[in-house]
Amino acid sequence: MRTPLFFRRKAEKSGTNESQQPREEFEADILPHLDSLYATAFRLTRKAEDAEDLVQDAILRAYRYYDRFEAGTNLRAWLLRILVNLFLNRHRRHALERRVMEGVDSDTIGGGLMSRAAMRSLCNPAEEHYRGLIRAEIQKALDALPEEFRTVLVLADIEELSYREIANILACPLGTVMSRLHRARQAIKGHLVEQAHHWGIIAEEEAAETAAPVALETYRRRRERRRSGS
Amino acid sequence: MNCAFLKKHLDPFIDGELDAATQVDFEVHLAQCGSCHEETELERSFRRQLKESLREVQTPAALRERVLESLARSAPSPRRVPTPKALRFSPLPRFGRSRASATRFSPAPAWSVALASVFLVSGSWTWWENEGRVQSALARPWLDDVARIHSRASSPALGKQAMAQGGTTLATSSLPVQPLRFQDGNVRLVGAQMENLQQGKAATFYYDVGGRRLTMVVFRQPPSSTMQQEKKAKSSQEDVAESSPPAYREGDYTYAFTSDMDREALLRLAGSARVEAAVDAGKSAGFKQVSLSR
Repeated sequence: MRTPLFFRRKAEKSGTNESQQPREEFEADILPHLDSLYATAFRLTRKAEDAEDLVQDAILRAYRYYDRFEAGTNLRAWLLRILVNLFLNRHRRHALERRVMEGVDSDTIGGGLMSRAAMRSLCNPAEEHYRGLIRAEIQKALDALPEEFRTVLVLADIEELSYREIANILACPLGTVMSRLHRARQAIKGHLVEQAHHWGIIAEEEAAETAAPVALETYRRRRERRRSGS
Repeated sequence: MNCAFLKKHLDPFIDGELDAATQVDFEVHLAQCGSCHEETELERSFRRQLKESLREVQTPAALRERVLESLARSAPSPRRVPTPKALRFSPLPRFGRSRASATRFSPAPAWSVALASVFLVSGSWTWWENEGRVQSALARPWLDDVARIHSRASSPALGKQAMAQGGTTLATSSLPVQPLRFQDGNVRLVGAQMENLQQGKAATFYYDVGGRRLTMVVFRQPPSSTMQQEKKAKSSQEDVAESSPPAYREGDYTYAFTSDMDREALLRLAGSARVEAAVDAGKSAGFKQVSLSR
């Protein structure tokens, strides 16, 4: 196994034209991160075609500025930084959503805590049937988040970057990363509880008491619904 | 430490973003408080659920070709100033830091894999030594223990135990060091436990790599190991090199790997490892309660 690999590598190298070498080096460096880049791009753009475009643009840009990459630092974080910034620059127009989410109105009610029983049934659903449903709802809830919250959640919970790395990528303070991350997770929990109530996994009273409506608006909407129902 | 404090800072705690001493204080509180323990576990299971639900993104097969084509068409990148070896692989991997500043090792470039092959073919593992990333100055008894733990774990009992736990992390939160993360998506943590070895305590992590097993043992450097002994061990490296497990050393800690895989694959895998939230030993007062060895 080992020897053929060695000879193959050597053969490739010897056949290399001098001018192609930086490109090949770059390719070898970044290709291991392609899945990571695509997964992030897909979660951010929500569309396969947009995600592919974004990945391609990000990689081309990275290639152009590769001499600025500081060797020995986290290459994946550097690539993600380029990708995320490309994405955010294209989507800044949704500033309104952001304001709603970050504004005073968005204070969570009841601390945004989900009851333990609700949490248990959602995170470890007894019936296999619900697993797929919950998965789909989590994806839906993520897609519904404003860009910058989605970005933070994807970078933290899927790509597992540190707060510091995320703050560097988004060029924002650490505290902003933490609060956005918290709100994003609460929003997903809130959405799940609401769904769980619809499915009848958790009791209505419990849902009403413990759900974590992210915004006052959600709370009002729910109250209206309850009134019209009774 | 009280429950309200823990709840307030639950997020950074679970994310491994607290400083080592505080992280340990939290762990100690969790071991004593059932309510907080339950809450933490629920939050963790929510994170797992979240991750699992969002991970399933399949990279289109054509994307790779597309990217390579567009690169070939694009203008050449400004030639990079060759980085000195010492910079490319920092001599002392900055291990054992909290996730906030965890260092991720960049994957070895193609040329170094080729280089590694040369050394591997010639039956030596000095490649790592040359790159300054790994030290082999391990005391013999520890090396034997690492191999023994690995072979013992192949008993069906561990497999069953791991299965029973749904193949998920087994109470790693109660360990003073956290499992490593690997770039390879196939690496799955299936078990973890503390070991009482003759020389002291060690944390053991069992990983599954596409059906093959990888065992990582983390222990404190034997206290007797002084600079002199390290030198001695280095000079006698030749005779232990062939059988010794690859290992990182950082501060007081040694991270040693054994595996069913062939050595080249193991070296590559170990090279891509990343510390998630290890405890900065010794410096934290709270650490003593869960220290690896006395």
